[in-house]
Amino acid sequence: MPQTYRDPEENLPEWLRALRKRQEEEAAASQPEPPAEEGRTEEPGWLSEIRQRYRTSSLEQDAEAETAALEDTQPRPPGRTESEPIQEPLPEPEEISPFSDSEPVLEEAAPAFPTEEPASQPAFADDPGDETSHPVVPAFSEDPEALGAEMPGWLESLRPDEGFPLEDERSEAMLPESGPLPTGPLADLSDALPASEIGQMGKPPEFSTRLEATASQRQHAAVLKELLQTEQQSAAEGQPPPLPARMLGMIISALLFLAVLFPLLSGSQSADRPEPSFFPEAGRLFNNIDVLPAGAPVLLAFELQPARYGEVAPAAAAVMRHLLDRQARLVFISTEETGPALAERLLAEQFANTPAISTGSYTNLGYLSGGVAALRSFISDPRGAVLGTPEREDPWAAAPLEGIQHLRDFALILVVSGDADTTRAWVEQGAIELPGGLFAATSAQAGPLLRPYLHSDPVTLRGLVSGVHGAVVYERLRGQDGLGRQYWDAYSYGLGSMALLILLGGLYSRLLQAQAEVKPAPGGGSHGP
Amino acid sequence: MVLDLDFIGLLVAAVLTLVVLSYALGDHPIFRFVLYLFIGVSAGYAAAVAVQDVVFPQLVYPILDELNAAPSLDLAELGVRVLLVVMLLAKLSPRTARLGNPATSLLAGVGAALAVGGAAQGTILPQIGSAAGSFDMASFNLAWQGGYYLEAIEVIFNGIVLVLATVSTLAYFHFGAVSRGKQEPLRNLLVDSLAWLGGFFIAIALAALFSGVLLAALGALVERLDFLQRTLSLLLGAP
Repeated sequence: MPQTYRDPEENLPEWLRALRKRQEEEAAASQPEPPAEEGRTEEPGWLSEIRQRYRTSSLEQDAEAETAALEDTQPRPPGRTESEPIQEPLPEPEEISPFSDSEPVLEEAAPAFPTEEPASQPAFADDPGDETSHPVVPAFSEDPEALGAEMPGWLESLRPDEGFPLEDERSEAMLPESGPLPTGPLADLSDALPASEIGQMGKPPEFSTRLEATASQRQHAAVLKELLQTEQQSAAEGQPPPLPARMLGMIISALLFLAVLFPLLSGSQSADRPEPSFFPEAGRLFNNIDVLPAGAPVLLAFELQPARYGEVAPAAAAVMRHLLDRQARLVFISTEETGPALAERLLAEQFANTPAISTGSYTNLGYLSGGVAALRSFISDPRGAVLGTPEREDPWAAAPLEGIQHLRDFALILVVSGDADTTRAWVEQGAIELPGGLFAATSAQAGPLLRPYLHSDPVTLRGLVSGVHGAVVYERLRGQDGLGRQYWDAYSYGLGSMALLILLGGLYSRLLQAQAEVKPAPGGGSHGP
Repeated sequence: MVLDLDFIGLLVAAVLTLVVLSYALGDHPIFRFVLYLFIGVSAGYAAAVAVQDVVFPQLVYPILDELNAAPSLDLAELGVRVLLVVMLLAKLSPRTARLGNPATSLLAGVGAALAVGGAAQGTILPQIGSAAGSFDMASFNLAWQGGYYLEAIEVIFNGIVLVLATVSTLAYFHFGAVSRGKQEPLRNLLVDSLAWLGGFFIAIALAALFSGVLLAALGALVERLDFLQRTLSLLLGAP
């Protein structure tokens, strides 16, 4: 049997049509009257037309849009239960007619159980037996308790309390309270946000710029401020120190010069020299050099600057003399521009009469430019490193470098340095390639910084000679006198003078401080006798 | 009269040394002149060494060899050298300074990577190993079993001092504190106590560094005064 299309509206029962008609009338009655058009005679016609069109369509569109927008945000209402009383009244019984012949169509148009769509007829339509005893209740309700549903505990805990605003209340709270705008091109249009309030929404909150600091922090800030002001005053004024301070400085300098000059002029060698047993790091260097075979290649990293040359020269000369006595083949290199020249100067001043030096049986690889990167390259691959030599010759072709392919092929590596940084660079970059460590002859100021490497695990610095006292110790180990012994008396007396001056200066300073404390403050009472 | 350059150099050096030492009497223009002279000579010498030992052998000569059809370097390597040099030269002008960024970035990046890697391998790990083995138990057992009880106690005492110095010094540089509202933040009591102790060890370390600087300066002074004395003897013809 072919099915013909039938409009569902035609098959609705009379009672349903009557109910719809009544709902439409109630809805029309509840709509507000359009605002009066007084005082708007000068409004252009096109704007009035837009207003009229907007008013007629806005109500329907608002209802549909609001329903669609809130559809996903609304909680799904629970189904109706038989145990709870229905609170809303039923319509009059005479308005409801029997629906026996239209029952299939009715079931198709409106299901008996609640769905997501708003129901167009009462939910009891499929239950005619109870139609007089149950009041009408909407299929959807915001309050599940009104429907008698028992919510599970977890859902109950998620329910907002009464203080939480509903969606509609929040929407109203967000909208401007003044309703339609009174003026402007958007006048009388509802839900229009005024431009002034939009501008205020973007305004950032004002924060206090007042600094919150504790009393201690304020005190520290005051001290720092005073220090900075003192620095600026000193730099700005540039005035010489007062005469007493200058005289004191001259006296101290004169005493120190005399203490150093007297032993030098007299040639005194009366001061006791330090005991080598207190400097085992110098002994280790001596022992390693003392067992070198004749002709063993030794690399000397001459990382010196002119300002430190005079102080490092005694220690470096003592060790190099020992190397030359052992007939070691010396190879020099430096990552300092002045290193190669200072190495040549030391050789010329101290070892000009030594056969190996006078015959040129040593190699100066020159300046290794590039800092730590070049050092790393040289340690990894000495022959591949870029060496700066003015002569266009291959330095590795020299006799002392025969058989040298890697850095570990050198029998011993000695770093002659004026500061701790360059020595540390050699130690750190050669930690892997030189598992046996290396040796150093340095300035006295580098000694304390390099001592931890003597005791590291694994040992990265095997021996150390630092300063004039290191040179003296090494000369004592060898039983020979050199620059160290020559300087030692002047060094010892100068050191004693310095210690004495520091002690006296401290006492004098403390005395001045005590006098200032005893002196009565201006306007205050005297604490003294 | 034949001028001996070495002798003239010796005289100039002696005069300059005297001028520098005269700073003990106070600052004066001649001292400043010598100071500027030293800075200028140092910079000029470094530049001369860089040109003579680096720029010419590593860049100019290979380019000339390439132009003379007698290449001493691979063309690709020479190209990289020239490119990096041009990039660095671009730093001379503010307009083209951006072109030199890759070369300077390469220098800084490689330097930083080597410094970090070297510090980890050559300083941090060996020092951690040393601190971990502060208690030389082998020496302690040997001394104890041999009846050298004082030496055995000394081994343990040294270990305790070393560990305490390490921990307290590290605690000194721990600045974490608990916030107490508007009051001053307060450090943990244990950390605060260790930090107080660490201050002593840091003071000892700084004193050692200061004494090293003093000794170095004294050594340099001795060498300069000895140089002046020898120069004066030479001038006076003394043996």
